[in-house]
Amino acid sequence: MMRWALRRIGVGLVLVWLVATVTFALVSLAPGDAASRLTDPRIPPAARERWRRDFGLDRPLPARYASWLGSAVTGDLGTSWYHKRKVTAVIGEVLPNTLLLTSLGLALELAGGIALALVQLRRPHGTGDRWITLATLTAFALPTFGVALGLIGLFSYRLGLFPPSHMLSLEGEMAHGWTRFADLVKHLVLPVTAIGVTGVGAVTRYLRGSLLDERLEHYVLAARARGCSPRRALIVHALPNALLPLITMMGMSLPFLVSGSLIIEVVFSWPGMGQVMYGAALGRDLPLLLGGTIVATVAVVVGNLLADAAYAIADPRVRL
Amino acid sequence: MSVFVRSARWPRRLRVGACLLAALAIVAVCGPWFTADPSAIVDPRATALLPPGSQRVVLELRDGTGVAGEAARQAEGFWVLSRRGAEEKIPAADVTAVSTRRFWLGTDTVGRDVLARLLSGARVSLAVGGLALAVALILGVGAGLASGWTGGIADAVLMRIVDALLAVPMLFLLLFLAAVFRPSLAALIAVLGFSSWMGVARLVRGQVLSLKEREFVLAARAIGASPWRIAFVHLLPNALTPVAQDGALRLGDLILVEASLSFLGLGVQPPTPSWGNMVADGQAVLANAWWLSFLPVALVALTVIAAALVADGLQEIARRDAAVR
Repeated sequence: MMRWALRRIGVGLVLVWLVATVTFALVSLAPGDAASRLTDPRIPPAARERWRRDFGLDRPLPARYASWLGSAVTGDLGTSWYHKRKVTAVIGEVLPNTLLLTSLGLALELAGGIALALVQLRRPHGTGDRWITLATLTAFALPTFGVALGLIGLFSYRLGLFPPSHMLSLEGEMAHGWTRFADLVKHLVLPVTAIGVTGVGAVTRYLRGSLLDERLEHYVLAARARGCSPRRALIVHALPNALLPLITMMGMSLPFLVSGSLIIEVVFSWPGMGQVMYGAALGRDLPLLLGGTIVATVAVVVGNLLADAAYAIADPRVRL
Repeated sequence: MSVFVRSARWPRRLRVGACLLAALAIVAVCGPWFTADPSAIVDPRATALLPPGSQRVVLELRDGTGVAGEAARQAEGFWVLSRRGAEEKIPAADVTAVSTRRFWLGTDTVGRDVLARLLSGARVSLAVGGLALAVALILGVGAGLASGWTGGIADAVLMRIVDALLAVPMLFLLLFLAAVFRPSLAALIAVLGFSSWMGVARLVRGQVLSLKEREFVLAARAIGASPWRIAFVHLLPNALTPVAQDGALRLGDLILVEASLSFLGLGVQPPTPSWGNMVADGQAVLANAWWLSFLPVALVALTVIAAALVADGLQEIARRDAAVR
């Protein structure tokens, strides 16, 4: 176990380094640099040169790479060209917002998926099952931005129930304690629902299929033979086994926790990683893009590692 | 053994999905021949944001432009055009043609016909999705065959590359590439294809690894078939059903990603319409012009549903084949 973990961590580090290097190369070789962000023609060339020198862009590529890698290893990802602050500070500020939004969304997606699949399994191939199948297929096929805009159109513009954007209203920003919390919850409802709706389709469709398979296994038959009710056999015996592969699925969605549902954040003006990265891409804020990509890559690697470890704990047949 | 060989009976889901996809493709190819120019702006003063089914009178003028209004009547050398409660007189000598036009699915913020844009958007969206899938399949099948069939160092190297690429946060990369290189359609297709071949490669490799231990491969080798022949004539056709199933799901995925990128303004660039950038246009007027956002979203969803149905049907066939064996 220990050896496995060490090896996986080693491989993961190499992966992160590779991705970081490739991204650095892409970023550095892309046309235009920090100085081309200064579009105002009145800026004198000397000021441009000074700007480039300040960001170290006048040095040759290998030297830049070496110093960038050196500071990245020590946890310094450079300075954002747009925010004029440390990349780590910018990311550190928005990452919790994204984690809050996406973890709630994932929880909703999982809970909804399990509940729907169990309802479908009460009478497979019956009317209810067919309708839910149609609904989950539609939810699976809807583009994220479509769901987000639909929710905004219905619940914000038509019914006026929830705010269409941002994390806090002005009053909420000023307030403390309970009022602030209530304001936050109000702002969370629509984006979390949007994540839940777009994700629930995949979870339900997957879980229904694997529950149908598990139901026919001998251990479920054995449980029924011992006098276990069909409901109990399904929930206590079949469900945990059907849920096992979902661990891998969830591990793969850890990067989603970090990179966030970028589109949802953009549509709802949610101050998170996705929106910051979108802004960085539009504004060609290369250090921030690089930093964000590295953070997201780390999340991918850690997610896969945790998923494999969790799988081994949940399923004793798997040896590491 | 595969969908195409023993196709005695396709499951209903497969038939429905395949018909839907075919219908969408036909509409995308032929539709734009029968509709107006998707980027023609008739008359922004009178035809912007018309709800579906609206009808307007269009007077074509001598200088090539047009004006439109709710109604027009002729009176002593003038055409009197009523537009939003006001009346405008236009000298009859300037008017070259008068026609009424119905906007079956309404118009957008600057007065372009939504139906025409949806249809030519279908062309763009389906073509980008389909061609990107083709790129992914060619790369993925090639890499998967090479990896699974040759084994050894090639296998190890290819699979490590696949692992590394799978760890890249693709959305960020796409975002970055799109922002830096303002994509042309060809670049968009290439980027989407190159970012999604890894799953195909893994799948094909797995299939090849299990198939190459089977007797028919041994038999082929025994009668002296070359490795190339075995790979393409014996292994590949047998791996077709799962690859087709994965490809159908992937097509839906690619169409969603293209729509999302275009929605963010980083995919298909205006004035070329695509379903994603049409929604981006409609976002600002969501509260009073639902059709601008709803219709393209519905078409994206319909396409992805069709692809998912095809995938489900193919999976059923694969399961049936496994049971037969």
